[in-house]
Amino acid sequence: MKKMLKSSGLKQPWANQVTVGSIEIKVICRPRVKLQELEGALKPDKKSVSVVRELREEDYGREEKRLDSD
Amino acid sequence: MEEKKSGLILIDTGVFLKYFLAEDGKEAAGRLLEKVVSREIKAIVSVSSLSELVTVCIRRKNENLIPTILSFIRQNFYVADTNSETAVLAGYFKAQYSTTKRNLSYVDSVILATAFLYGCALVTYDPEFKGVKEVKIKTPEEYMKQ
Repeated sequence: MKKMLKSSGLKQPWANQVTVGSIEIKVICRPRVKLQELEGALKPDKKSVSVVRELREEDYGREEKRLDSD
Repeated sequence: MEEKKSGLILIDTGVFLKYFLAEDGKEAAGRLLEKVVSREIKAIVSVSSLSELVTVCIRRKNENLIPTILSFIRQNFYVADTNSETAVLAGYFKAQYSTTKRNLSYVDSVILATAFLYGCALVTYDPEFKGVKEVKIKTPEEYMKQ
């Protein structure tokens, strides 16, 4: 591998994506996500309880309809 | 208490959303998530919550956040799958708790069944779970106080 890297003339062995000859190497392990990165990441146009309830009530309506038709 | 016995809690979708939307009162949700990140609390997330979080991100045109949110959850939580045992129990809970006054959806029932099968408390802001007897229901504020 070292030989391959050397022969590829690789300049940035720390890059997340490198190509050695016909082999493409990608780093797919994401770095740890910090909790603070996600605080306020979504636009606050509705309350979280309403967001969840709307989602689940949509499903509830359909589920009940399906159950009733059986 | 069940959650003390198992050392686990199940965190519902709304707790993440409270923090991600930076709503008033997000502090308790944030403190709880912080404790999970620092491994002081072991927590489970149902696969159903992953679906809901993805839907919310897409509907709000925040698709770019999906990989970050999923990585955050996978790095810090145990993601509980829905297997046949969970599905059967969810059916039982749905039949028992869906009444004219309460709309317990399939996702609600799966989350409840998952908490029951893992013997842990369900930490949620969802009022639909009030009155459920089989699983201890707490808000993040109540859980952090104990």
